[in-house]
Amino acid sequence: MSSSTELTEKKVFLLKSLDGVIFEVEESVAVQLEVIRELIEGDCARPFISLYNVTSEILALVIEYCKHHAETCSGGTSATIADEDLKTFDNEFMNVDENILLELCSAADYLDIKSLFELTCRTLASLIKDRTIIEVRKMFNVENDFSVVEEKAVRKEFAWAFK
Amino acid sequence: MRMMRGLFLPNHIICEILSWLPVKSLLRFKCVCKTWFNIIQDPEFITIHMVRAPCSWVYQSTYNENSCANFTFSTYWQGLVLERNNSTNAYRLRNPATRQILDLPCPPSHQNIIYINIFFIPKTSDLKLLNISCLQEEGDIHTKRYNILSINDLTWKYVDSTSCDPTKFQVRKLHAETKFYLFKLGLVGDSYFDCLDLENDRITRDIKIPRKLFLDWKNVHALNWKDGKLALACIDQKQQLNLWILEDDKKNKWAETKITISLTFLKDYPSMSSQNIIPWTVKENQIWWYHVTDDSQDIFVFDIESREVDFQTSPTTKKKILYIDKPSLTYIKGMHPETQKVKCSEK
Repeated sequence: MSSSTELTEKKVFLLKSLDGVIFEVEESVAVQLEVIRELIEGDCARPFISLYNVTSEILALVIEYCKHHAETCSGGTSATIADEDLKTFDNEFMNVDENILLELCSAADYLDIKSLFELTCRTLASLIKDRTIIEVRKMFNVENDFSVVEEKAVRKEFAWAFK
Repeated sequence: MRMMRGLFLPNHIICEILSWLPVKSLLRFKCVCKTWFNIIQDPEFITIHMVRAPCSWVYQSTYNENSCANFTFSTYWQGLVLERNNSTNAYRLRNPATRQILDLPCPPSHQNIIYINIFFIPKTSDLKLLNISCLQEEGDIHTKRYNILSINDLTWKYVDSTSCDPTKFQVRKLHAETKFYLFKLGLVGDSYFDCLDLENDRITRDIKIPRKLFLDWKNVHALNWKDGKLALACIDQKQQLNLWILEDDKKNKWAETKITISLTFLKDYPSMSSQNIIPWTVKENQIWWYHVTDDSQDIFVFDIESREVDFQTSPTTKKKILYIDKPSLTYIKGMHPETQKVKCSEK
């Protein structure tokens, strides 16, 4: 098959968010979401694809990310320039509130977008690197299920790491 | 507006996020909750984390500054440093990132040690230490004693090689997965190799290497080839690297034809010659070399396809590299905190 599809109509897909907002995306964007690529290949992408785990706010961001990556990669620029450009874009893209970051990470996992998943995981890691245990528990919504004695024992083993 | 307030991330996502953190943060985050504690202890997680950890060169000078006096660096394996106590000759395994130590029993012989290395045996999840000492017999005849320590049961065993005369052989040592090879390159006659299988502590001695592989055996090096295979290599007068691959060590089967690679880069680096560059290992399509000069040892990579050379260290640092560190959470049963040495560390 030839790859020159200039004249043929661009395929578009409709994605429906958890809160019912419908987004129209081109195929080059849609296929970056591994889950959707599978649906497209299985011809199960009509009339629209419902994404039950992603809100419209997050889905809009995800589409923005995939669009930029699709355009940069197919733009005909040299690989190194494209690389630089993506790096700058990714850096700016990660400059969001940490709750959004957590949701983006979860969405990237659900939609199976490997590059975005790694990007959000790395960004979250650098955010929490120096945080206290209490701050981390709050951010990740986890409860301390250690007893006082147990926690003390765990802390004692690597007391130097708390300094 | 947002519907997912108080998002709760599943374990596999937490695992991914944590895998990008430095060791120190992870040791603290063991206290977050039991789930995080278990993730951080999990051997699979420890492996993923180590792969992602940034690596750094450790020089002899930095090691001397940071480590406690009294110990000499021996070797490095996946975040663990093996070091020898200068006064007692006992070994210990130390994880500099977690500051934990495992003391090991003294080897049965600690005179004339010519080699020490760590082998991981996947089948039994054991670590084995191999320490080779040279037993001098009458005159110039030497026997090599292979001392093997299993970390699982902490006992030393040994096997001996056959005697060999160092004026007739040059010895090259090579470590490939769970096997150790000792090449005895004949300066006047035939060459042989010993194969020590550390999985079973079994040795096959004096396997004869076909003499026709090289004309001149003086500058032959043994190196790790792809797929856990071994190779012998020699740079000829035309500045070509000639490689013979050992296809099967049990059957002593060598490749049908040699591989010849033209070392065009030698023209661009006048300080390098066939005498001072040593091929050491092959990863994918790259040959890793040592460039040895009087006061330094540089590592460089030669890409077989593109013929390009890439220095892993600045050739001007003139510092001896001890090892490439990958800070990891690697833990061996029985390890304890390095408490008594606190005053030696930086803070």
